[in-house]
Amino acid sequence: MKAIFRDLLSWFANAKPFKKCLVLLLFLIHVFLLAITFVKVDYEVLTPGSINPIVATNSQANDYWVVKISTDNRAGNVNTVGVYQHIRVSYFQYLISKLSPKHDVRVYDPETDLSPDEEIIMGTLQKEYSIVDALIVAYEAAKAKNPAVNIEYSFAGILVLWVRKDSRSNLEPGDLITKIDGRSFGDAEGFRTILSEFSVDETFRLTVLRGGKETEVEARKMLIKNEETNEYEEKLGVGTHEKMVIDPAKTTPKFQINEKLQSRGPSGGAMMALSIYNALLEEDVTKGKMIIGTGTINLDGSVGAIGGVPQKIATAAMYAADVFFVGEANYEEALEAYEELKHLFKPGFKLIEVKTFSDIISELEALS
Amino acid sequence: MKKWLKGREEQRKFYGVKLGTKTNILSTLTAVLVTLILFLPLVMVFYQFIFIYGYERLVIYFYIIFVWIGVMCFNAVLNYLSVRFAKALEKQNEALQAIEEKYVVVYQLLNPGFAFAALAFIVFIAFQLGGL
Repeated sequence: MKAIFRDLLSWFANAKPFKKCLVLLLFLIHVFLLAITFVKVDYEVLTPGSINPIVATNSQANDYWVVKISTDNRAGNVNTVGVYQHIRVSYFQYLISKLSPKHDVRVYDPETDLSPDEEIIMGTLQKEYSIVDALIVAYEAAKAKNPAVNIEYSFAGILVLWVRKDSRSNLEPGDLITKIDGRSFGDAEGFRTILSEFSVDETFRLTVLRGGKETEVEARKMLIKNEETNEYEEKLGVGTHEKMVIDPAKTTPKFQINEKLQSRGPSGGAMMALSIYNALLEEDVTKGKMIIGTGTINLDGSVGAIGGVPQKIATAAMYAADVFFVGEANYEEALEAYEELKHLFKPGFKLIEVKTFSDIISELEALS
Repeated sequence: MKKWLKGREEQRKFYGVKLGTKTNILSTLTAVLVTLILFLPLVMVFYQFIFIYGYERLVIYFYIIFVWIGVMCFNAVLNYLSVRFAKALEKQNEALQAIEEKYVVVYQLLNPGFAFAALAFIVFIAFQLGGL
């Protein structure tokens, strides 16, 4: 081994000055490249991703299915659109991310922002509830057209999605809150009403389902500054969602949820509801068109806001879609991205703003 | 072409030289290690580039070409260093000392057999990953 190093050293010592300089320069480039690829910076990058058809039926197989509806109808060519999120990228990734207008590079604050693991947990929980909400909205809408379709569901509790680092609630992501100080509630409004009775100095007990077991945790509210109003509000310091459970025995046609979810987040809710709705009806409401869209679906049928809209528009532009549905809250941002992308390539799809699930159906009916 | 033919000749000579077991193992392992260290920044740059720009469908073809060229260069440097380190370890071996390793680089960079095998393997992996 020593002989090898002696050989290399003597080669370097006897080399011409030009070669020596070249070796030193290459060595510096080597160290520089290693440094910029290993050193992480507090930035997160959103890039375009891919589209996924998410609903399968008995007559329409799909490798990426999230929900399978037991009918012989078609789920249609309805796709959700996903983006890739890279948290705490290397300095090199930060630099190359800045080169493309399709990327969103933003500051990541480890003190206040969720960690990559917490993002995964939250995204998985969001995906799970968005599937249930999409099923409920789609079955209810299909029931109005076909009385043979039926769904039974009930309120299960308040699902905890994320917990602020400074929260005094002792809650964990995935907890399902069922009681406050022994008092039950029937919906999110009931939960908020009981919670408002406690001041920030009071400690109260929350009954939660954690890992399938009922347990009690102590909690206190905290003061959180509302960035829009600049006022402090009393809150638990957690992100929540009203969780519903569907009774499969009383639901027709039967459905199956894939246990191996390949994507996270709630932004596919509206498109999932559309595809399920199409699968429940004999008529193809999508008229054979390739549909892409984004937006959460709420139980009242409203299409909610989502993030990463410019990246989702850029993703959709890579596919030959006919229509892109986007919620009211994101329409302006989507239109801006759509117009901007026209300089790079021609997106072939029609961008349509929708407020509710019934708007999506009406827009499809109006399409020729 | 002359350099390539000379390189093939030199490579054959190297394969024909009788090396001690220790020299054989040590020169090969050190050459692999040093080549890995030399290529590490390029591998990191490429891997991280794919991580950010992997959504672009054209990137897959860039990926195949870049990896292919990278594997060919890796093989050339590895063979060059193997000869060089073996020469450093067995200075008394005249047949070995007569080998001109710089031509080995030219030959291995344009080694058609290895190039075909490497490309087939890379395309196979790309298929497995669902990229094509």
